[in-house]
Amino acid sequence: MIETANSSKKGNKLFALLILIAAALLILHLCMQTAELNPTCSKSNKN
Amino acid sequence: MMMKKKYRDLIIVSGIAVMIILAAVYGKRRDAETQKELIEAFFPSSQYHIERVNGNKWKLSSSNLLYSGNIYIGEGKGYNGAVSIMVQTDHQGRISQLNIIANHETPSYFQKLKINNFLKTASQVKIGDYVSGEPIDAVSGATITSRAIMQGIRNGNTKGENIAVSNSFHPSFGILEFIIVALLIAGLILQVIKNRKIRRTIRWTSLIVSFAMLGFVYNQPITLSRIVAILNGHFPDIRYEFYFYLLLGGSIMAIIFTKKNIYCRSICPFSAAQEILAKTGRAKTFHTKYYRRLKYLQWGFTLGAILLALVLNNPGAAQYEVFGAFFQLTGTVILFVVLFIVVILSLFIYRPWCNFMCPMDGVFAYVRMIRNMISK
Repeated sequence: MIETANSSKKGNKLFALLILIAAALLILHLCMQTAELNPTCSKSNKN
Repeated sequence: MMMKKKYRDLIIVSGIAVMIILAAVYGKRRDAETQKELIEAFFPSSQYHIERVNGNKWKLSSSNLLYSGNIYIGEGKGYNGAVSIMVQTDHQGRISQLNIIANHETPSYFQKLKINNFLKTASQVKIGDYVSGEPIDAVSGATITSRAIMQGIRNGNTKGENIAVSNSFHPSFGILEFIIVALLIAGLILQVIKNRKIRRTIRWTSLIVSFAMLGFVYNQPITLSRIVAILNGHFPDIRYEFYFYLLLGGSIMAIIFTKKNIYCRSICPFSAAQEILAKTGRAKTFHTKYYRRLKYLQWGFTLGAILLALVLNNPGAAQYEVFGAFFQLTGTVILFVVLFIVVILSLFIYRPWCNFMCPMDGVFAYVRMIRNMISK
């Protein structure tokens, strides 16, 4: 028998929405990370 | 109908392969041009006179002839690929400048080196001291990147000066490798045993061992950036990271021979974390009419991240897992927010990260698709 997380449509929509929010945040993370990595040079420690 | 499905799978598998190859070729060409510009940027010809000795060594003198020294360029194997180091030394071999001219490491891990002043410590040692080994301690939590920098300094120096060094290629087999072999065997046993009680015991033992050891102690789950690094031709150093070959090779072999993804099921430490949270919150499987769309979003996202990292020739750009944030408290603010959402969701729905966000799900699904196509 398949168990469902929440029989109500509202519950399912809420979980799906949270997953989408997390996905959107991950896209934002990738964009910011790309900006940080490009250019790939880190100059450091000039004595 | 079967033929239709076969052709559809063939188009998907080959389409993805073509996209990956094109992105990798484009990225390689782009990076070669960028590196050349970067080296020239450090020592402009208006201030310095540079004379090339060999591929790893240059003689350097200032235009007013008050300063003379050497520049060594070498590469070390980092977590996501090569780390290129440029070392400037005076005539006595003292390091006066240490620059990382190219790296593919994940920014949050690289940040750890900066916080711990690793580059400053590394430059306080004479370049000759790197020939015999690692003269300074690696930064905990960024061990591979620390080692890559020291390896880069050593390689630049030894190759530049033609110093013979004995390189052993014997893979190390330690506790981590032993744990991985045990987890792989347990995962395979789970496919054979029918008794529910024994299955449950083996599965939970595997999950807890993975959670504690692969998660908190070693923090070595398979990550997308590692997969991209391999697609990019950067293979981890077998002497230090034999475990990775065991983990990835064993997981792929299991898919080929048993059709089952044992890595996600019982080896991944973050899947273990979600199982524990699911048990705590009595989470249930999430069945929704949006399931298929969310799945395509997950796989499309993974493919997008792989292509982006290949085009940029930087595997670190594909890192979006929350493993580091969970097990090591390393990551960006956004990743911590995502982790918080995942932890809350895990209490209500079964493995939300694995089912809807993890990139490894798409990678293993692709391997399974190829396997099924070949077996047909």
